[in-house]
Amino acid sequence: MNNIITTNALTKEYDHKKVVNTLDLHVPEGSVYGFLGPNGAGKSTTLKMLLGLVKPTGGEIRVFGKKLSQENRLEILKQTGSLIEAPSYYGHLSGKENLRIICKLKNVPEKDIMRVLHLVRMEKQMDKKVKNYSLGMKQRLGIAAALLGSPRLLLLDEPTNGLDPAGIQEIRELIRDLPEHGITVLVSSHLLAEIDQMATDVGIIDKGHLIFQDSLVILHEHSRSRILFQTSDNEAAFRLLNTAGMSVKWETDSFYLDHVSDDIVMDAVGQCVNAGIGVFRVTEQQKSLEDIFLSLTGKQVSL
Amino acid sequence: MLYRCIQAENLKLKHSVIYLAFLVIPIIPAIMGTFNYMQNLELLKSGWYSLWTQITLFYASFFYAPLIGIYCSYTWRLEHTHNNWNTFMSMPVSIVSSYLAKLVCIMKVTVLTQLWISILFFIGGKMCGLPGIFSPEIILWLLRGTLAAVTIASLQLLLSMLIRNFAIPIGIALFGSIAGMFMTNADLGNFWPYSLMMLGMNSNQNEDVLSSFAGTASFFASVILFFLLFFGCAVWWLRTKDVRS
Amino acid sequence: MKMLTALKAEQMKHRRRMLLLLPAALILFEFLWALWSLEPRKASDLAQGYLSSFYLFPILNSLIYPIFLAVLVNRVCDMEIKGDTFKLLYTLQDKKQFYNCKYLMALKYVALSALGSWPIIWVTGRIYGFTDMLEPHMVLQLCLSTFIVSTLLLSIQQVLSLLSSNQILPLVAGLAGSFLSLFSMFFPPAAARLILWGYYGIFGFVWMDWDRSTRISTYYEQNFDWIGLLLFAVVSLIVYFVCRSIALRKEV
Repeated sequence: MNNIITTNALTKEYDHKKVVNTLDLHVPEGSVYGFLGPNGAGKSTTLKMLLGLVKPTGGEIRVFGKKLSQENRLEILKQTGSLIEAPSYYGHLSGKENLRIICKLKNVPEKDIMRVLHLVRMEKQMDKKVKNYSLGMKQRLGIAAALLGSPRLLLLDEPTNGLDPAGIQEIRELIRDLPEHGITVLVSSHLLAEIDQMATDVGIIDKGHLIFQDSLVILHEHSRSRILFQTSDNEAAFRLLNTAGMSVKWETDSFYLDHVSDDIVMDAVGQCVNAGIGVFRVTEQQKSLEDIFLSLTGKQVSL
Repeated sequence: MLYRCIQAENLKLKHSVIYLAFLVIPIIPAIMGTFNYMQNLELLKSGWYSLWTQITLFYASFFYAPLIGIYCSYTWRLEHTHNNWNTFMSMPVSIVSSYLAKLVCIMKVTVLTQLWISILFFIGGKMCGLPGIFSPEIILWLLRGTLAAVTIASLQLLLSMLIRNFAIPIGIALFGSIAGMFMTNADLGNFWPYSLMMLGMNSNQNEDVLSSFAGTASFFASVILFFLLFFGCAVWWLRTKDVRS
Repeated sequence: MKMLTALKAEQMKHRRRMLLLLPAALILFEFLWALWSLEPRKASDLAQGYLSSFYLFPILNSLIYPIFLAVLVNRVCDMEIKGDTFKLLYTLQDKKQFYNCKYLMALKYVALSALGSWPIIWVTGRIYGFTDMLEPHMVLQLCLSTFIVSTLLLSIQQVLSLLSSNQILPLVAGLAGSFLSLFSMFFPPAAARLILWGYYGIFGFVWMDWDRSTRISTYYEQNFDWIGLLLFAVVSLIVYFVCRSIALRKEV
């Protein structure tokens, strides 16, 4: 598959501190690429470098197969929509007037305004001054502005910031549907669950380093299930199965078997029952994405 | 592309009261200058020329730069607030066009202000009962002043882009202009951008200060070089510096 | 919140904003101007050097103070407008206290600037070797009148700055103020008194006679208008409360 964005050893230093460190991003065409990381991991800086807003200290960026440079900048920006950090707007103008400015600059016919306003469901507010908008409305306006002119690539930095739950759901569905219209989306977030719900591919960044990058399916393989046991005497059952050579693991006050076949589960339950231990529950558990993050970085990260 | 950028700039300036300042402020020197001329008829004997110096001396030497500074600060304030730098710099238009669009809007205001002050000058002259129309020489001075004004505008636009505060560039403009008066008196006006307006408008004496060829040439050279310098600095800065917002 | 705490908080907001640069720039500028304009050309200039400084400074002040105050107040108040902090601040402190703090903050720098003219005149005199006395009462009259006139203009600038979301209005007012005060010196005295910004000049207490034939300027001292200054201070106090109530009427 073609990559729409490729970066090669992309690095940005501020005051000798590497905020983004030798990043090799590969964003496949037609994907929703979830760019995941805690606050301050370097997500916004990376996105700003992809747009040429911030100049890299080292490395190379290729977008649509072209090297991002002063000469190719316009060519690339023409096919790109973006919402970085917080939405940009002119407060003394109405939402519609704000979009007209973008239309002029992007050379997009003004009839496209109604389409994008409909997509983000804010036709009713379009004539209100933006300074009177709620945070969620400004966010919607920012997304609408990014969608103007149906760009081939969309960069969205935490697009669901400030939205209510219904709004979050709407925007997620909107983003999920974009690849059908030939739009590749790079969406950043600090919420694993959110990326899980809309992305097809994932890159995880921590302290400027890319610590994981692959399809969401592969990420889920890291979250293979485990079988949690709850019995009348957990400690005794754990000792019993452990001496029987099974790979049981203790966790707080019960234990689990990691990624095992049905036969082994049956065997384990049988042994417990034979030893007179009552088995209350045998439940299959997905590893949470927090756990995956922990296993990838080897340290606790608050997300 | 430039035309689209200018249209976008015009849209941004909707609903702002900025034009009011340009209508009101020049009226002050026009009234005062005319009044002062009437009071001192025994000293000021050169008719239209005397009135010209009375009306434009303070306008050209002290007030044009801060006035255009307000305008420059306002157009950049729009970008400095609410994260607009990100959008401003990620639109598919060249940096030169984006910047030039702002400059063109300011030139437009400058030209209108010059026109307005000349209309006020004419009305003032008629009210004092001056005969006929002012001499074409004064129109030449107005045009020269406009060129100098554009150079000052390009400096103010640069300052307001770099300094993210509304008022400081305006303060700099006033101090620069006052210093400009001294520079003009010390015959160093061509080396100080804020002096160029007064030289161009010829607003401190009746005879043309730039009557000699050398004087005219160095004035125009100075106007053009300063303009290129400020414009170049701005574009270089936009090209190479990171957007911070 | 106690006023003192509030003032400390206000002070903290201005960290790293280098507000001190503004009075410093003003004083430096006054100094350069004084050096240029007070340079003695004849012996008669030396003998009335200090006297002529007190003629110069009110004129100089009326040109630069209106804009200086507009810039200063903008610097102090605009952070709240840009950062949209009113809705937070008004839940933390009394609105009146907020206004008072902003005013006092700006006033501190005005006081510094007003006092600054004293050392400037002194140093200029030393450099050129003025032979007359630097009269303490004249220094007091200059600094005090500059300060009191500024208190009133400060009120006007502050209410404009707090109400204007785009800051055009206060700056235009400052610029127009500079312009008007400069011109008001050419007005008939009665009309000049209508221009608030012109009072820097009106409270001037040294006058000049220029003899056209000998080309010699003679300076002489006038009685200082203490009652006028007192009245002005009272008006300034009233204007302060009026401006405060206007500024605080705005909904957040």
